[in-house]
Amino acid sequence: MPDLGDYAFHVLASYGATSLVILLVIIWSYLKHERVRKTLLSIEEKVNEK
Amino acid sequence: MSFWEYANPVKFLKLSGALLPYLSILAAITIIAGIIWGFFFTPDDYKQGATVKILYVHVPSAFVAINAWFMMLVASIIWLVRRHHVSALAAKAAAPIGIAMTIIGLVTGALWGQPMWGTWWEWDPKLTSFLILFLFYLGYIILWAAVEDPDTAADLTSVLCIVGSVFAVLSRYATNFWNQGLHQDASLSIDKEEHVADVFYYPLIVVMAGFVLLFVALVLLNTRSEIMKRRAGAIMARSRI
Amino acid sequence: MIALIIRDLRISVRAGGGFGLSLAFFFIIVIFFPFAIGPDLDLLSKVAPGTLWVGALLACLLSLERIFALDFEDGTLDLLATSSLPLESVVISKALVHWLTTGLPLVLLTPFFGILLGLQNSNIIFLIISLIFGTPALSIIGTFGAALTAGMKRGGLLLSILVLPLYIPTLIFGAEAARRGIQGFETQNSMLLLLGVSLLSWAILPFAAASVLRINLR
Repeated sequence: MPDLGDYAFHVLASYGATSLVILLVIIWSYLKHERVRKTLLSIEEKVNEK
Repeated sequence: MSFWEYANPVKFLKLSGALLPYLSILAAITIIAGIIWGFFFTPDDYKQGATVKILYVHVPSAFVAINAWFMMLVASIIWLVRRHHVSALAAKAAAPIGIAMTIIGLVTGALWGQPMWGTWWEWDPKLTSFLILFLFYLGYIILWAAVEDPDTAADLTSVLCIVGSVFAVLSRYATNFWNQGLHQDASLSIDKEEHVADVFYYPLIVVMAGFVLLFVALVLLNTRSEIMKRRAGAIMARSRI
Repeated sequence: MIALIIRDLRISVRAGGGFGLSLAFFFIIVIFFPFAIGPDLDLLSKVAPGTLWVGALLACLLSLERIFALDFEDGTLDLLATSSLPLESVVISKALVHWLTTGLPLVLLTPFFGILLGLQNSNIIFLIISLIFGTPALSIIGTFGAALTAGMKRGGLLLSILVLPLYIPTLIFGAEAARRGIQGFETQNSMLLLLGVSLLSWAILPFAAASVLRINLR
């Protein structure tokens, strides 16, 4: 761990904020993708049954 | 085989599905490697101390934030000219990622500005134009959400994206001009990217490449969601008839 | 085209046309700033150019929704779109009428409002020139925004969110020119840039607005 001196808060906070926002975007995109994929599959199944 | 074949949604889904895992892993490796290199193995700047480490998240996110808009502009023009649905949906998919990157750029900029300039916020041209970019993203996303018919929404947002680009560039020059007018002798340069030493430069390039890969992966993922949503809607409409 | 302009002008001055509304709104904003900032005339004269510019911008914004909404509802816009008149000319006439009914009266009333905010007579001229150059840009940009939201039921708030970012260059150059003039600096650059923004907007936005209208009328 490098010595961040007086700026430890600023450096760590910016890394923390960045990872937080990026993680949120990734999780949001992934969940949306899974949700849409499942709805599409179930709809396709229903249509095929008919 | 031409590039335009992937304008076919089925082919796009197939290719993007095959690419995505590799792309995501590559993006993760590049970002983590670059961050570790930058965070642990580069010296502090003699003037800025440890805050120079913020460079490795601030510059890549800002870079992606601007270029995401540029990518949306290109995709919008392709949609208006060639009417490929994938293109319009890719532009829609890029907007939330672009706005997230803009937020990261602003927040890390504030966290860097506080110790260096003694203030969280300065009406510096670059900061101001980033705030303006944020507003443009916001308007674009809200317009997509407000129009029900997907093709109309794609058309309207594409035109807004093109007109917005013109005015965003104008705003960029206007803020330069405006701040010069405000403090005539202040010389607040945040162009660190341009005179950054090699020690910082190489890890920075790695992280930037990682952010670009991440952006591409996320755009592909979101575009896939949009295509599947459209197809689900189309099947529903057809089966009801 | 001229007939269309005359018709729209008549409608706007008729009762219920909302001709005076944006002017009254502008007047109230100008009166409210001293209430918020305090009655210190020195301070007020410093913020006067910015206040009047923001006031003009908001007054413009308020009247934008009406540009196409009524014609869209009663089908006049469909008739205009199918007539021999190109839709671009329709857009230009609409923007021109908007400027004649809001921009121009605002410019004419500015001397009085400038006095309220403590501006000296000789300085008001810079403010007036900047508004003459800038308000046409506000009208045409706003017409583009109104065209974007023409088909929507609750387009009002959306319209402001879409249009305000597009107003930024005009506002920056306009307020800058007025401020420089009032503080006694050289204003030529900012005035010319402001005029440039106006002319650029009038050159490109009629086409963008007309294409957007065609999409909305589909």
